[in-house]
Amino acid sequence: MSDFTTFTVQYNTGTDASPNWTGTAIAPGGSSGANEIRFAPTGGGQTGSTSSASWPLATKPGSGTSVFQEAWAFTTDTSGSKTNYTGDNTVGLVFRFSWDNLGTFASAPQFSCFDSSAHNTPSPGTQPSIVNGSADTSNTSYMKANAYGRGAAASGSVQDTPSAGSAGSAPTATTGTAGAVSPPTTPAWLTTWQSLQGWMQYIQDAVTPQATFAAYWYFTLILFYGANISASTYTFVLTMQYTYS
Amino acid sequence: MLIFSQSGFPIGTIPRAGEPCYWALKRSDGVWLCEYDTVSDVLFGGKRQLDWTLDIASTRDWRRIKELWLFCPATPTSPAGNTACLPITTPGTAFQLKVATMDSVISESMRAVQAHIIGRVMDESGACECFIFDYALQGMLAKWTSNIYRFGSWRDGIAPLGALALPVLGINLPVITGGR
Repeated sequence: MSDFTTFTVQYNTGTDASPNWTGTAIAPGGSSGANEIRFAPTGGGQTGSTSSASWPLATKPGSGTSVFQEAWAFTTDTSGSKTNYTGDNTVGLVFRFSWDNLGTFASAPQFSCFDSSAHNTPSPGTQPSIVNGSADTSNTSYMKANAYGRGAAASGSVQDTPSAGSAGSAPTATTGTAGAVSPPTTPAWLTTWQSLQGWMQYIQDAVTPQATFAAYWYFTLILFYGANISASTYTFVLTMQYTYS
Repeated sequence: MLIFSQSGFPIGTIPRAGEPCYWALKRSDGVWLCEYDTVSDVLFGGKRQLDWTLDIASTRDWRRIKELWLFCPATPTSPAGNTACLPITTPGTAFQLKVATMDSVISESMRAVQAHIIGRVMDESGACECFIFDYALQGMLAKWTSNIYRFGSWRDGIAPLGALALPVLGINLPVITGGR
């Protein structure tokens, strides 16, 4: 039964130069505004005590696209912290997957975004949806991602940890590659970011990480929105698919 | 006739609705092992459940697998549960694994086991045939075929698994090709 006892996403509440990951694992369950990440433009008035119901609206641009410049992590509906997310590629230490040393991967893990935990295959261009995208994104997802290296190498107890600094080339709203892309094993960030559109456009580890070795796999996100997104309240999930023996 | 595993678990017990599948195997010496057996592990600090990688793939017990079984819970479409068996005629071709997901970040943080797979490699190309119990579909896919070097997806919502980790799963293809 070599599943992982602990397998979570963590967020950085510090800076790139001085990250703080302490106590930032997102706990299971997500009802009533707890245990979730919320995105917002700068200057919307959001704080760490703003409830989910009062979370500020983002106004669509009249044309073209914009990005959410802030991401806040909430442990309860009104208890949150601003993360190191900036809505661009200038920082890399924003999020990371964390797994313990009790599990054994049986293949390379992969991650993407879905509209819900039903994991329905996206329908590119169909609104309302973050992952479906629209003409704004050339029907790629509004959510872009980058990941660093392998998390852990296949053997040798090697952890891939990025230095402070930029992650790949700045994506546009239309960035996206069909199928899976894998960060270099050197290790390095993806040069070209990926669109997270279900299992149509996603990121897959280049290796099967070492068995029974606790590790972090670093990644960062940029969430776009634009003139052609339907006005709505959006919830969606970041999904890691993995296998174990 | 009742058959018991090495630790005394009654082989063939069908899990109740909502319970997970479990694998079992019969070795060439007639001994049965199953996922609910326990072993002592000093590194673990006591007893733990039998682990496919640690106790089968890494101990070379993979050489002695003669039959690989999967016992699956009762579902609305299969009230009596499902049972699958793969005879293993070539050592090093049997494997089993689970597919799981972890949803997080925006909402609905949760983990779920999506599927339990048993399979056997058919030839040196890596072609394999599998039984897959899919927890979302609440049913079993019988003799689904794929390839261990590019394991595919059997439904929407499951990404292709890609290359399986052969040492982790106890797959030793040189035995098939006569290289060992």
